[in-house]
Amino acid sequence: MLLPYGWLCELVEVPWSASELADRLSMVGVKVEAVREVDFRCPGVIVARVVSLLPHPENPRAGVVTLDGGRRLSPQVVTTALGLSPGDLVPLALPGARLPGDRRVEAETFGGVRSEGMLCSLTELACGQPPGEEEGVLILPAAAVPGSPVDPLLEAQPGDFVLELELTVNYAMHCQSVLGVAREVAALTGMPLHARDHALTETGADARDHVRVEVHDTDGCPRYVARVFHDLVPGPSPCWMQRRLAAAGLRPRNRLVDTTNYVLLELGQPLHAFDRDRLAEGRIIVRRAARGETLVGLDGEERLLDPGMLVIADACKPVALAGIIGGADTGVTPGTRVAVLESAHFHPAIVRRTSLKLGLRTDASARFEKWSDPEAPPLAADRAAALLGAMAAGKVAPGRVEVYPRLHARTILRMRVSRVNGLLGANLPASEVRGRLQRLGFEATPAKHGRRREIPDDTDVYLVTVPSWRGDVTAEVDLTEEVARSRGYDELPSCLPRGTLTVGQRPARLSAIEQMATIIAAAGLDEIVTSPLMGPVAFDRLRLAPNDPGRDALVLANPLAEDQTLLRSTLLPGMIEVLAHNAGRRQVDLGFFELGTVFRRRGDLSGFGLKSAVRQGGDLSSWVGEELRLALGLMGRRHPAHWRRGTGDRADFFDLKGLIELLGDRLSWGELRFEPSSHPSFHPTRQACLRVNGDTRGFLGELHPKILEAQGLDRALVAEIDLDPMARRQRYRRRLQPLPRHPALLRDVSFVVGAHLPVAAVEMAIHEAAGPLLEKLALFDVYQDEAMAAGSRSLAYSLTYRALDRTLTDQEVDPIHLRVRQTLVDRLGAVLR
Amino acid sequence: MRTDIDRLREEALAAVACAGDIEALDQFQVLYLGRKGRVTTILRGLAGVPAAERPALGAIANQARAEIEAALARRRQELAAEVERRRQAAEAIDVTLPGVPWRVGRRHVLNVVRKEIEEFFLHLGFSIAEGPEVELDHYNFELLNIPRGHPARESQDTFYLTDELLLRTHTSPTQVRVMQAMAPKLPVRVISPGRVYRRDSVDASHLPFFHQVEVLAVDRGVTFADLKGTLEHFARSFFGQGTRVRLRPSYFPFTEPSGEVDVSCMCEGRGCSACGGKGWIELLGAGMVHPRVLEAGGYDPEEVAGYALGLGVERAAMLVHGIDDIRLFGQNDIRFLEQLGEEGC
Repeated sequence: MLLPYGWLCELVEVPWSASELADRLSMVGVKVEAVREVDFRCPGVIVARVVSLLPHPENPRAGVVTLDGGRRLSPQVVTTALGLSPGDLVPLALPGARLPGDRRVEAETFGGVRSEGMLCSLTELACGQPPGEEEGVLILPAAAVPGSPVDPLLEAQPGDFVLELELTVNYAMHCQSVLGVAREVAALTGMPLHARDHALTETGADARDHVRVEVHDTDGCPRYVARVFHDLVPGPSPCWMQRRLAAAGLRPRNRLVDTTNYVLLELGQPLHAFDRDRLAEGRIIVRRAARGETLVGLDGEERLLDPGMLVIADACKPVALAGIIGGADTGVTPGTRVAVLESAHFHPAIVRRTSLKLGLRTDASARFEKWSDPEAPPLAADRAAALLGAMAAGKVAPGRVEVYPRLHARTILRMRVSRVNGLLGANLPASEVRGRLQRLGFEATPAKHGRRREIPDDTDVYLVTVPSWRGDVTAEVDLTEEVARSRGYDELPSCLPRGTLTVGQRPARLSAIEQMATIIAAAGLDEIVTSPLMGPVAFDRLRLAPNDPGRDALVLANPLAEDQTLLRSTLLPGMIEVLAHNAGRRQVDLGFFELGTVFRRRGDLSGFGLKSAVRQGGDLSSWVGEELRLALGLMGRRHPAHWRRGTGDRADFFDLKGLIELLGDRLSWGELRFEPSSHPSFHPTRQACLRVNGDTRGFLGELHPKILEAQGLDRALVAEIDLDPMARRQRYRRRLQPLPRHPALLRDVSFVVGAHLPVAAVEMAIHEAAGPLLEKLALFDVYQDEAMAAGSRSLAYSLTYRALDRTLTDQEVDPIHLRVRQTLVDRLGAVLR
Repeated sequence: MRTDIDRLREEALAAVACAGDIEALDQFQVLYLGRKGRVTTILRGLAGVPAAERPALGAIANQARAEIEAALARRRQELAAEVERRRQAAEAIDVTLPGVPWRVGRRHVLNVVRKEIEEFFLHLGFSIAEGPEVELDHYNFELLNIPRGHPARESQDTFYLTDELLLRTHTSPTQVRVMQAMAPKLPVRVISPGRVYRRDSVDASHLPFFHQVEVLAVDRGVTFADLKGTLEHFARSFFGQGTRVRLRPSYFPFTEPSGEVDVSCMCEGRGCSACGGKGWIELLGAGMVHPRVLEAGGYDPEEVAGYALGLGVERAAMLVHGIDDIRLFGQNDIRFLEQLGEEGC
C-alpha cells in the first residue's frame, strides 16, 4: 500500500519526518518498505493566452493554436482539444518541460505542422497522467499572467513523501487505509485523531424517494447504506485529490469514481456507485444469486453465478457481485444524472469464497475478504457526500437509506494481566497494560464490578472490548501482542533460556552423514547440493528403458516448469549436470560428492487417505520413502599438472572404487564386493554393482559413452550408493587389535595367467592355499605385453606371513609358499616367472 | 741432529698445510709417519746417539712427531668438511619453486552454515529432529493454525502431490510432530533443519526450494524474554559480538506475539547493497507458539508456553558471505565451491 505522508498529517498530528515515521511504524509492526519523494511541480509549464485558432491541414480532429506566452514568445501548438477561444488562458508545456511522473515534453511535428509544446489538461498537470474522459485543456482564471509559471496557481508544493507499506495479513485487516495508519500514529503519540467536520448540504427529494433497499441475506450483508446524488456535473476531480490518488498509485478518472477511490484509501471502506436510472424500479436487493444468472462486470467479462455467491440486484437481475465488482450496465457514466452510492459491510468469508471461485480479486474484495469495519459504512457514505458536495459535482439528497437489522456486537475478551506478563516475561503494571490498550482503541474494565470508581492497580482480570475495526484480535494472546508492540519489543526484557538442563543430541543418522562427508572431503572431493526436482527427460538422458522401474517417481500435481515435475528418485542427473556445468567452463579436473535425499513412491497415492496417515501419528513411510543416497563423481586428472608430478594420471574406475573401499573401511560397513553389472547409464564393460554384506547397494563406473557425448564430457566416473541401511545403523566402535609382537616374513610371487580370470578368483585361490598365516596379500604389478601368449597377463603379489604367537621361520613358511605357487599352477594354469 | 729434526718438522708441517685432498694427506702420513717414514727413521736413529743426549733428543723427536700427527688430523678434518660443503652445495634447491598441492575437499557452504547454526543450538541443549519433506497438508497448514481459505496460504504458494499431500513450505510442521512425539514430557528443546519448497520461479533471490532451520522450545514458564535472549546470543555468535538485534512485530499464524528479527548491517548504517542503506538486515521470523499449535501438539497452553523461530540457511549464508544471487548455491561451480566451502567440518 502507498501512503501519502501529507494525507496522513491531515488526519493526525505527526511529530516526525517521513523517514522517522517510517522507522517508528516499522517498529510497531506496520512495516514500511521504502519512503519515496513525490514531486507534483511542473517546471517549464507557463501560462499562455490563446491568440488564434486554425484547423490542422491534414487532421480534421486537430487544430493549430498560436499563443502569447509573454516575454515576446508566440509559439504555435498542435492540439486535439477543440473549443478554445481566443483570449482563453491555458497552461502551456514548453519543449523541455517536465510533468509529474517524470513525463517530458518535447517539440514535435504532427502532419507536417511543428508543435512547440503541449497544452495541458488538469489531470496532466496534477499527476502527469492522460486526461480523463471528456476532459479538455484546463482554462486558467483570468487573473493569470501570460509567461508566469503555473505552479503557484495549482498550489504545487515541493516534496511530499509516500510511504510504501508492506502489510502482514493481520495489519492488512485494519491498517490498509490512511485512517488505519493514523490510528497507529495516534497510539504512538498519545494524541487523538483530528476532529473532522463533514458538513453536508442536502437538497431535493429524500434519498428514499430515489431508491429502495432490501437485504435478503443479512448474514452475508449485515449492513447496507446508500446515499443518493442528483444533478451530477461530469468533470475531473480537483487537483489536490488527483495528486493524492496518483501518489497512492491510482489513476484519476472523474469526480464520482475518484471520490469513491479516495474514500476507500482514506477510510478503508470500499464504495460502489450505481446509475439510478439503470436500476430496474430503482430497487436494490441484496440476495444470493439464482442458478444460471450471469453478470457482465465493469471489466467487460461475463461470469456465471451460483447460489453460493452474494449479489446486489435490482428488480430484475444482478447488478453487482457483493464486495467484488460492479456490473457494466449499471455503472456511472458521464451521462449519469442520479447516482446511488453503496457503502456496505459484507461477511469476509462469502467475499473470499466468491473471489476465489471466480479467480477475481479487486481492491474492494481484497479488503472485504479480510475484514471491514462494520461501523464504517455510514461514515464513509457521508464522507463521500461531503467531498462531492464540496467540489460541486452534484447535489446530495437528504438522508441515508440503511438496512442494519442487528447491531454489530463488539468482541469482548477476558484478559489476565498476570498472563500477559507471564507470556512476555515482563512485570508491567496493570495500569500500563490498560493504558496501552486504550490508546489503541480498546476498552478494559475490571471483570468484577466494584463500587469504587478507582480501579485498584492489583486488579488482574479485565474484560476488554475490541474496537470494531480490529477484526484480527480474537483472543487474550492477541491482546498480549498489542501490549507488547505498543510497549516496543525492544523495551521488553531478555534473558538466556532458563529451566532444566538438557543435552543437545544429533541423531545417529545425521552424525553418520556428517562423518561420511568429513571423510570424503578429506579424500579431496568437493561437496555439491543439487535440485531435488527433476523432469522425466532426465530419465531419457540416463538411457533408462521406457519400462525401467527407476522411472517411477513422485509427481507434482502443479509443477512450475517441465524440468521440475518430479521429485528426484536418483542423484545421478544432478551429478552429471554439475560435471557438465564445470566442464563447460573449462574446469575439468574435478571430484564431487553429494549426500542427498531421493524420494520413492511406496504406496498408492491416488487412494491416499489423510485419516489413516493422521491416525498413524502422521507417519507417511508407507506411502513415501525419503532415502539417503551418496553420489560420487570424478573427472579429468586426480592432480593438477605440476612441475614435479608432471601432468598426472587421469582418474579411472579404480580411483572411484578405492574411495568406496575407504568409506566401507572407515565406516565399518562390512564386506564389500564389486561385481560386473549392466546398468544402462554406465559404460557396458566398465561398471560394477556394489554389494555390501551380500546386498546390492549401488553402482559405480564410467558414464556411458553416449551420455558423455551428449553432455560434452570426456571421461567421467560416477557412483550412486544407497546409504539408508548403513546410516541407520548404530555407531560401531572398533575394539583394539593387539599390535603384532613378532616379525613378519615377506615372499613375492609373479606369474602369467589368462586375462579373463578375475583377480578376485586368483586371490581367493591364494588365500585358500596359504591358510591363516597369510596376513596380507598385495597386488603390486599387473601388465600385458606382446611377448605373452594372447589373452594373458602377468600379476605380481607380495605376501606377508605372520603368526601372532611366535616368530615364523623360513622352514615353516617355505612349504606354505610353495603350496601357494603350486596351487596357482595347478588350479589356475598359471605360468610362474 | 737436532737441526735435522727441526727441519724435518718444518717441512712436514708446511706440506700438510698445503695438502689439497685426503689422498695427499694419506701419502704424507706414509712419507713421514709410516713404518719407513722419515720421522720414524729418525726415532730409530736415536739408538746411535750418545746416552746422555738421548733423552733430550728423544723428547724433541717425539714432540715433532705429535705435532705432525695433530696437523695431519686437523687438515684431514678441514678437508672432510670442505668435501661435505661441496656436496651440500651441489644439493641446493630453489625454495621458491611452488609447493606440491595437498588437496582436501570442502563441504558445501550451505552445509557449513547449517552446521554452524546447529552447533550453536546443540550447545544450548537443543537436540536435532528431522521431519519429512513430503508432508501432509494437515501438518503443514491445518495444525499450524492455517485453515483452508486463510490468507497466509496464498503467500506460501505450494507444490501439491495430491489434495492432502504436499511439499512442505516451511520446517514448522516439525514443531507439531515433535510435540506430538514428546507430550507430555517437558522441556521440549528441538531444532529441525531441512529443505522446504515454494512454488516460485527462479530468479536471483528465489528458488523453488531452499533450506531452513526451525527452533522450538516448550516448557513451563517459557517467555518472550527467553526468545529475545536466544535470538540476541545467536545473532552475536553468528554475525560477531558487536552485532545488534532488533525485533519488530510481525505476523505468523502459528505464533503470537510474532516478530521479525533484524540484525545490524556490517556497514553500520552507512549504506550498502546488503541492507539497501537501511542499516538493518532481515534475518528470521520468530514468536511465542500459538495456543492452538500447543494444543495440536498435545500440550495445555494454560500450563506451558513455547517459542519458535525459523531461519533461512541460504539467507544467512548470503548475508555472511556477500552472495547476491541465490542460484549460485545450486550451480555448484567449482570456483564458487572452492571459495566458500570449508575443510574438514
